[in-house]
Amino acid sequence: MARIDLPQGTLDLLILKTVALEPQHGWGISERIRQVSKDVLQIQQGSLYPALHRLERRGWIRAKWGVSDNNRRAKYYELTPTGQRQLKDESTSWRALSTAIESILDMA
Amino acid sequence: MLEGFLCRAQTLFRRKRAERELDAELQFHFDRLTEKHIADGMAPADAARLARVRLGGLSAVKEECRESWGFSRIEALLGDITYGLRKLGKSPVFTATAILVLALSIGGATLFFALLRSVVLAPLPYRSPDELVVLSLDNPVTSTFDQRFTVRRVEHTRDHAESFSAVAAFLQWPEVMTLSSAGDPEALVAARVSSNFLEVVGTQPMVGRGFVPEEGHPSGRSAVILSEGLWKRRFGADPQLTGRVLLLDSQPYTVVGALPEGFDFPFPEIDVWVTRPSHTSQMPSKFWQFVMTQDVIARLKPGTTLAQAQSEMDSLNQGYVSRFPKNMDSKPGVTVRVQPLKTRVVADVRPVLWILFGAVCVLLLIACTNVSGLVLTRASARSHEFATLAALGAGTSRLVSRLFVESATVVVLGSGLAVILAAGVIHILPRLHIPHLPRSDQIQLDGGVLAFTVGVAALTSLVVGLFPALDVARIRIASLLTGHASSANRISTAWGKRFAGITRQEQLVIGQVTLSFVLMFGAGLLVQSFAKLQSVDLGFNPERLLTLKVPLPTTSYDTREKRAVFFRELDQQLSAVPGIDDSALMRSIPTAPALFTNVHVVGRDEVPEREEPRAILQSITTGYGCTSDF
Repeated sequence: MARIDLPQGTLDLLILKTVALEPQHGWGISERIRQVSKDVLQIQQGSLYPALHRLERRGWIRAKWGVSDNNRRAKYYELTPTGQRQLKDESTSWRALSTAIESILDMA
Repeated sequence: MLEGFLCRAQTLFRRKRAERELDAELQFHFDRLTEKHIADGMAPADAARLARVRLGGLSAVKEECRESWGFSRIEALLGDITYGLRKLGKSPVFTATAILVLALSIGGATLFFALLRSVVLAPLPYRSPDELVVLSLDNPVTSTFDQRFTVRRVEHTRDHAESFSAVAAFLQWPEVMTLSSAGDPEALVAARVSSNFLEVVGTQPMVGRGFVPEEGHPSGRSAVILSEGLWKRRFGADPQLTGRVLLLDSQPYTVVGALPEGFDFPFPEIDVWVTRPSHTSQMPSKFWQFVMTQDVIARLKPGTTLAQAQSEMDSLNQGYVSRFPKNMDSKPGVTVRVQPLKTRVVADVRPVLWILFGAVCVLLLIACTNVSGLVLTRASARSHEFATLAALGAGTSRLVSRLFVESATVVVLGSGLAVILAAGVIHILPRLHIPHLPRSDQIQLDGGVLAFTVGVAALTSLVVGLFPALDVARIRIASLLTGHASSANRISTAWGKRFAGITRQEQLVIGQVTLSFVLMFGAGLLVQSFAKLQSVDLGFNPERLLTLKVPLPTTSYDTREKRAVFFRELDQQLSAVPGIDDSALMRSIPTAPALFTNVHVVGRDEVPEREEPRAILQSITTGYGCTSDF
């Protein structure tokens, strides 16, 4: 189980993508990222919540209080239309970047 | 105002809710992590402990979230202010000293700025004051007496000048007139002016009217205009007063109007205005036409420049001299000078006020370096506090801003006190009767002056806070915590390399000493001039001397004999009063404006009358020499 430090800016992209599927609370977001990345990406609370509040202030996600699966009040984040566009832009540029890096690493 | 309050209240409310929600959100995360550990088979207490360890510093997370809310900057500032006030409260001696030093120096700067603004810079309180000019003579034999016009020259100017819409004459010195009707007799201060003076200065009477031309003729009806003060004090502000006849020096004068409060032309504290400016009681009536007693004020026609008026006066002067070559003011070389009224009014104080303003500014700089030094000393003593704050995660900018806020708080408190001090001085200024300070009743603390004070306070905060802040910005935590504070305070900036090894305190001392020297030399020069003025030899000893002016009504004392009898008796009775050593009577007291006469030395060649030497004419009684200790 190798832990990898996230490159600058990628945390925002991961959060946007995660909440794009369905509204999710902070705990849920970190668990989802950990599971999907097969424990490679573990988001610390110390960076997750400041990022969430930052994205909310920028208007890319918005928060509302809901009831979690174990019947507790939790703060759910969901994507806004602006966030939707931002996610699309960031995914495109990330894919372009990783393809470019891959093709360089694949040089024979 | 209300909107701002609502906005702040809303922010406060939102702020509290955001704080609650953040707590709930983080608690939820913690609970879920703990539950997960329990599900993995841990004991609840262990699970909670592990969760706490894995989550790390809760306050750091919260702080970072708060920063994105946008409340934090204001809150940090408020925090710094309360912190600063608490710190200042803990060292009352420092705080009181700094506030007092700043209050005095900023107050001085504020006061002198107000003086400059109201006395030198503000326009005169007359209609279109820039159009008002005074005419005077420049005489090769310079004396104040020689600068005035004769009645003939006033008339010549009034009749021929094209540059002016009106020309008025007045007597520059006050006359004392005895009011002997409508109650107890009272000595009034009277101003003698030409009948059109109100049209020239452009002031309307508050009651009644101004003079009409007929009232200015020597044979016309005598009229009087009252000051607002006399009208209220003596006549209960009776609006029906116009048309009543008052006895002034036993002559009937008809009241035609009253002038508004604060009108102080041609000099302050006038009770009544009367016409015929040449009819001064200082000299016999046969001289009135020929002696140079008239000050002249004129209003430029709109669009006429000072230079145009001056060149017209130059050619008019030539016409006058060739037409009246024998007149006293027709001496060869005499020229007419046209100058703005304001220049004349403030001519004596303008340079003095600027010099004093410069001096208080230097004083303010010295005060700044002093307080800066105090703050710096405190900052050095508190370097451990700052090091601790830095170790706890406070950034350099936070430390600098904290120090700045602290010194700014002192400056703001000082400035507040300064404004109160300046306002107090300005309030009592007119009652101090400072000699030679014109317009002292017009000095006020208006918005412009307050804006100046705010600007000065802002600059002062910068200057006071700069040095300590520069030091804190370079604090090295390690060296401070190990106790090598002094080395951290050494200068290492590029600018400071020229003074390598000199501490901030030493720099401040250098600055203070330099500024103090500048001020000391300036003050020394001022004191020297003042001392010279004080030590002018009057030729007599003014100690224990009292003077008394006795104007006699000309109707009841109409002959020389009657007047002589009165004064002889007065002299005798005065000497009999207990406490009076000696007394003397004279025409005019020494150093006061006096009557001049031409001197012709018997046996010498006849010279043209206007080239004869002149002497002060004085008549005295026998006690004169003993009384004044000549």
